[in-house]
Amino acid sequence: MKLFLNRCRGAVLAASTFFVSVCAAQTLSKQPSPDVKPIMPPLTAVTAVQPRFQLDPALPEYRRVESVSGKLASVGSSALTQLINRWGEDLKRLHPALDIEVTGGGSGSAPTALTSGNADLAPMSRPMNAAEKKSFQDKFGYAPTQITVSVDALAIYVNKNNPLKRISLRELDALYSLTLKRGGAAEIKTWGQLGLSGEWAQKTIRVFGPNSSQGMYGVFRADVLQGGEYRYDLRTEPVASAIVQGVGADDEAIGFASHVLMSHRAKPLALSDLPDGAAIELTQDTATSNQYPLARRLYIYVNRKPGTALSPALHELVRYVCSKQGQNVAIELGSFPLSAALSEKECLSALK
Amino acid sequence: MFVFKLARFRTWRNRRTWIVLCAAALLLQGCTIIDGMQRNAAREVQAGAAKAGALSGETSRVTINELNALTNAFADRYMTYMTDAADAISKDNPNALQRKIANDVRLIQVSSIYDIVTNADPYTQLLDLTLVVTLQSRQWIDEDQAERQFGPRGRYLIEASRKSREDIWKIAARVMKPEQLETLDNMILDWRRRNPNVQMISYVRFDDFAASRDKSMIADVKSGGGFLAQVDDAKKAVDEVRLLAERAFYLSKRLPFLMQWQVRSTIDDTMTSSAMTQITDSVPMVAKAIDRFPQDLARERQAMFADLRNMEPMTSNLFTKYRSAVADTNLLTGNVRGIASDVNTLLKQVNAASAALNETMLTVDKVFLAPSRNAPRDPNAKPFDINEYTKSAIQFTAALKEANQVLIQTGQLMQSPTLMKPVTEAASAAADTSSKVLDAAFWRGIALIVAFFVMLTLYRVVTSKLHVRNKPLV
Repeated sequence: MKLFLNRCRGAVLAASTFFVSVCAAQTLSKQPSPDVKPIMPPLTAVTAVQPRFQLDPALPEYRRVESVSGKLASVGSSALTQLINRWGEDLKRLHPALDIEVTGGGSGSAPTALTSGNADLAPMSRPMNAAEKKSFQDKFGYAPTQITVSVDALAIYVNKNNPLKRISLRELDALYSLTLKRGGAAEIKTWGQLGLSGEWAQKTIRVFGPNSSQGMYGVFRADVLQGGEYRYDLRTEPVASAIVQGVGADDEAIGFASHVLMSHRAKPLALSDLPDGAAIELTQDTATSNQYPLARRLYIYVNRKPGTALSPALHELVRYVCSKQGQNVAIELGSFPLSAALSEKECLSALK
Repeated sequence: MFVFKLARFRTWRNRRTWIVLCAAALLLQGCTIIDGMQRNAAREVQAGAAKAGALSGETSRVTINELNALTNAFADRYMTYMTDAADAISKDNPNALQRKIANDVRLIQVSSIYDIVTNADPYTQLLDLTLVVTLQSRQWIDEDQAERQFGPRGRYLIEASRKSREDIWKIAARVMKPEQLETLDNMILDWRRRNPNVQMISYVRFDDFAASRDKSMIADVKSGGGFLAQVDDAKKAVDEVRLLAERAFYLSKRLPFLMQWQVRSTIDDTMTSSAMTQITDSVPMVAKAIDRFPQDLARERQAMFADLRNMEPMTSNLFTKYRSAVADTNLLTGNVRGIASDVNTLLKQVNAASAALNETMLTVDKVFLAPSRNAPRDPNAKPFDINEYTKSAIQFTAALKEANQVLIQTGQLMQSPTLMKPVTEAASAAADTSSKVLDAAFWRGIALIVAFFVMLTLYRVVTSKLHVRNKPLV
């Protein structure tokens, strides 16, 4: 009986609670309801940072004079692969019978392919060295023709949360090398040695860089380390974008890669020769004018006998690359475009 | 020979056995077709390139089976990374939307990876894994979506995405040449640049991805670049069948995780739907209302008692008045009964007085209405007797006395407090308290009736006197 009463009491209590809840809910439901939340808000479409570079209005306009045909083979720098592909696609729309077959392989493979005749154009992210030129010249009796097609720059990246604003080439040498050929006093291991204070001072710098197969590896070694040796604990990445991502994922990391790969979590540092020197920001002007220390030209080498004209297909390709349309493609892919003067001097000159 | 065999086949009772065997053979061939093994499966992956070997520290050749094992192992590591990240984001996170998105990210991304590793061709698996994991890491890290979506908790997803990318590129470096890796990386970057609004990147596949690109570039990456050696066709067929069974078993063992996350995702979808959001938003308010209910009840009870206390004097006064009214009514009722009795008595007296008065009047008439001096004398008339006049005078005097007495009694009745006071008080009480308690008009009517009778009596008296005065005495 007692149990029965307890159960009755419980049932009554439950019913009362339910009733009160319903009443309260009904009462309170009269209050203005908040806006309905989205179930899953779409991610904001944010791709790689693409600063809008200025296209020189004085660049010549490309106009198709007559349709050309043929097949061009490109072997060389992977840094230029995308550019050449886009130029080839655009040109194919204007000249349907013109095909460009693009193969990577790095800047090192370009001179060989050009000299052997396996490539009609050899894209390189560095100038051909003396040995490569000599090899070509020994075979053909003349030097390969160098065409500047765009401007690139090696950016020194740190995480967006890192307060560091600038770095010098000497500090970079002390950070990346064992040899300290730029005269650094000691290897740099902590952020405090680069001038950061507070909690950053004792934090260890994690150094990212390319592996030896990448063109940047040699460029940085030559231009910054002055031919010295990389430190042993360099964290190498198989591709350049992984370096920038590594920096973006790690507050205490530093790395270098093309400015084209700039991301929302990695910021480029201003560069100076010496720690107390004037630091130069990486901009279109400082890169194309060579003020920025790690700016570099991107080239295409072709085999052109002096006094003769390029093949019609190659001629149209070079004319397009040096034009306003061609340089606009460079901007779309994040590269610095040529100025009209630079185009005239180092690009269109190959046609004369 | 063929005809002979055909004839034997037609007459053979067990030809159904042949049909079954043929079907099995076709099925086996169908599996190979479905799996798309014709294109790339018959090759042995070699990571013998000097640069690739130097990068990865591996100089050994990687076979198809080893590559399959590597991709499967990667898929399980990937699941661990993503599960840890989703759990870390969700743990003690008050934001239901973030918890839901974290679970959805885990479900979608891990499902995608398992979908890839059940592909027939390990080399295609590798390309797809490299593509998808790289795109995911770009989205969460380089595009900073992890922090935008989850705030400080986004670091868990950043770490997981980064580790996943490092892992898969290490595997890729064992199989592809450095320039192939670089080309692939450039292609991914270019694809993302061309498709900035694609969000479901987990289901982008290399075949679709590369469809828009230059064919030579695709061939360069996907062909293996000369590091892959052909294997024997017979061995290839055996490997295909075995790998197919392994893939089925592999996926079946992992399906429960995916189903569990799918269920959780469905629950999250339900819980974050607009209707449920309203309900769940109401729950705290309901709970608060329930918590508040006893307090509200006590407060209301106190207020009610306070009101009762405030009303008590008035209520008491009302009850007092009511009691008084009831008492008065009882008294009045008793008085009225007395009055009615008095009135009855009075009426009887009035009747008696009237009868006496009438008789007196007749006597007076006899006395005062004497025959006229000019009228002929009745021969039968009784001769004048002074005694009769004396007798009449005495009777008249008595009648007057009685009339006077009636008048006095009527006046006393009208002025009697016994009659008017209760009536007045009753009317007053009735007006003060309630018409339901006492109808004053009723009592006033009774008083009027009484007055009417009094007035009627007086009228009779007066008219009788006037009548007597105007008529000549006999």
